[in-house]
Amino acid sequence: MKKTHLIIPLVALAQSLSQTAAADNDNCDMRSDSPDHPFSVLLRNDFNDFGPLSCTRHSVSAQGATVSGADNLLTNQNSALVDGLLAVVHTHSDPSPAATLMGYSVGAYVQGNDTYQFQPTSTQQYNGDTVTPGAYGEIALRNPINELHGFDNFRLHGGEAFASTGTRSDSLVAEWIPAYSIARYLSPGEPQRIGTSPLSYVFSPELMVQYDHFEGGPKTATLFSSRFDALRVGPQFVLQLRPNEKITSVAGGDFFAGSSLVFTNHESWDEYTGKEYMWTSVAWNYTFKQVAVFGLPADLSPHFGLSVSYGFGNSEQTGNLTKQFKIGLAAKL
Amino acid sequence: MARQSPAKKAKAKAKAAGKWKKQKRKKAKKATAKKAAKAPALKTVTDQLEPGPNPQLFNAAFATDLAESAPHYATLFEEVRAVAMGVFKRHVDQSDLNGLIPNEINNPAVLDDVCRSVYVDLGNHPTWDIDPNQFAAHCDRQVLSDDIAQQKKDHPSRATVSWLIADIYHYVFAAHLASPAS
Repeated sequence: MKKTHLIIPLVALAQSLSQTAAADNDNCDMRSDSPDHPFSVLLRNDFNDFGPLSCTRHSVSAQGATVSGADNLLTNQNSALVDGLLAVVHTHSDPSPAATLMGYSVGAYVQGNDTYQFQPTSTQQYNGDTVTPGAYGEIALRNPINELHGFDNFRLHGGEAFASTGTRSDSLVAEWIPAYSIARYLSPGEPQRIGTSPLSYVFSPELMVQYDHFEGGPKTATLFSSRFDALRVGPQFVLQLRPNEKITSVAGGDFFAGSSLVFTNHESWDEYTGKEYMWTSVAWNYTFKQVAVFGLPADLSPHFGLSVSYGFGNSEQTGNLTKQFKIGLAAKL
Repeated sequence: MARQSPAKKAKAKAKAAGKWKKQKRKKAKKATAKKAAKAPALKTVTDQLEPGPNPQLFNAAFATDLAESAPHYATLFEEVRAVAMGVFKRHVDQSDLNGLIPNEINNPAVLDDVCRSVYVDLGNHPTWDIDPNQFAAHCDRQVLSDDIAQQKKDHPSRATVSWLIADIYHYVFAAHLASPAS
């Protein structure tokens, strides 16, 4: 009885949120700044598809929050993970062709991670979590060079991380993400079709500046091994492959229509210590079609999916070396 | 009488703001249509230029009809088509522009780019006067996106690239009619 009381409001909340979310996986619904829906609630894995001109409703390409099982190939440890970013974002955009400020997004977020170690070491607990409340802002400015046919996104987000081990640290991340439409296959940040194939891609290069400051508690992060702060500067490249509407005409197209593949490479250098950090990952996301699946109503299915990823290098949050394979369920709003 | 809660008041205010924006756009479109109807030389074409996307208007014969009934405006149409095709070709192959609107084109950045490119090309054109405010009110990524969604819903087989170009032309034409010099 109690369980039913909990589930009904949750489903009702998800249904009300889904009214503003994608009904059709293939379309980019841009009405996030509509007067009827001035705020969007986004549940994601990272900030990648945020922004005033992004298709935040394009559910197939979005990476959702995950509940997964992970295998750390460096330490041979298995763990269960919950990873996610919940944000409330207000977006406004100016469609005037003469406008320099094309739009902005502001919001608040809570990023959370909970790890249950099946084989904890002497310095680890079975369960550990980190919660980071923070603020987010992003503007899209039209690039004054007409030949570039595009705009520059400037994203800023920062918060304070509270770990269950007692460690506290602040982080501030600034990103410059250009989106230009210069020529065929030369349009960073914008969708491109690969020839006449059923595949499209978006290649997004960006420059990222990350400032982290150690506040207190046990010092276990490589970032703070010799100092109390770190200033990492470096490029990130994200290549996203996704099917276009032609996919339905190929064998197995119905299945692949809900898939997307994301390659990420981020390299940075700490300006204080000169230390190099690098993170590389590949993730396959599958979004359920708009049909009733696993007991979910059809209109809720596109908010859920599967996620398989492999990543190696320095963890973005701590700088610690890791190499892990994850498989799990994803949820996105 | 029961007093409204602040939350209800805020909701009503937001709803009113939305309605006001819609009404403003509707009024602007009506005024444009009225002005269009008054232009005698354009009777055949403007008779068809009702506010909003008209599926009857956007068929394959549109360019031919325009060339016959108003050759002057056929040049404007060709200008808009060339600019729009230039933008679209940066995202998909030419062969993908003969059919339904590809997903890569139904994207905020690309729709913004097409309106902006038409504005840059025609804004300072020696022949055409384009009212910038009317242009901004009509040709924007959200309006085009809504039009595409509506067309996909009402006439899915006619949600083609040709239709989208004619839809954009429709808005350029409205902005041209709204300019004081026209």
